[in-house]
Amino acid sequence: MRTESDKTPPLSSATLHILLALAGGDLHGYGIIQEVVRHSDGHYKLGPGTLYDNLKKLMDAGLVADAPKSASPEDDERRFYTLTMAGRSALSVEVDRLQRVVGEARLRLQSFQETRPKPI
Amino acid sequence: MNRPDFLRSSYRLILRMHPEPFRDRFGEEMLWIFEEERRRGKAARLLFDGVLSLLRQHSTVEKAPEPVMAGFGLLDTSLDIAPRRFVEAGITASLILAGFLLLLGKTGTPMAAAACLPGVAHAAPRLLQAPSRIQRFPEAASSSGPRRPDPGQVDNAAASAVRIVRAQELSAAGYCSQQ
Repeated sequence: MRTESDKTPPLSSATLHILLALAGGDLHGYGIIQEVVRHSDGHYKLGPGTLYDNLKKLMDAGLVADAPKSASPEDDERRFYTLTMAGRSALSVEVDRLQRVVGEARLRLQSFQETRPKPI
Repeated sequence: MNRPDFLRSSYRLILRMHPEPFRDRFGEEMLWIFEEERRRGKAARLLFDGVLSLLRQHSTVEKAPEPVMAGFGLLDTSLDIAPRRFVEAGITASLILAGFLLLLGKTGTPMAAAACLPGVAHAAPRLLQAPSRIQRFPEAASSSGPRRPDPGQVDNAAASAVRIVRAQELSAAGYCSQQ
């Protein structure tokens, strides 16, 4: 049976990380960068050029939008970004796809270990 | 000009070279993030990111936004590249990088320049170490003339040549049968 994820291309790493960061709440650009570093345990670092190039694409596609202004005065000048409903469903489709990949990988690793001859 | 000022000026220059719509929309925020990272001493790597962004923005053809029917279905993750703009952006980015490396090299910190570029980071130290290697192994450096063959090899070659000539003589004299 064809699922929705079969019809859509996989997200790039940067796009996936940005959507994941925004799934936790509205953030400004630097907040997204810090959140990506935090949830990837420092393995993935976004530069501002990569971030805004991807944010532009995501906003043009309607997956991310400008958030209403923050109540905090120190964040007054900062522009916040929020995940739209379309963005949330895109992230959910990608997570389903990755789950299938991980499941398949686990099965293959398991069968590899079973068929492997034991050392004498 | 000290190093932080030089980095900031370089980043501002890179931002100024971005296409106007992109710069107007995100330029100020990019500069703010750069300043935040600079305070933490991690600004140098952002220069490379800025140059990559410059390349991407100039090589991507601006398209009118299309209506999104099923949310993420129409998200285009590939780049639409116009060859001429790609070449222009490549030349611009190369010139900026070359200038950046040259300037840092002249100020006596070529390693810092190399550290900014992931690809160069591995190659540059070897290039920089080349003179010290020559000093460490003077005998290797002095043997720049033509290499002299091993005397044993010369003897073997001469013996082979003699054997071939003798075989040809015997063949001509009819001592060897044709196979």
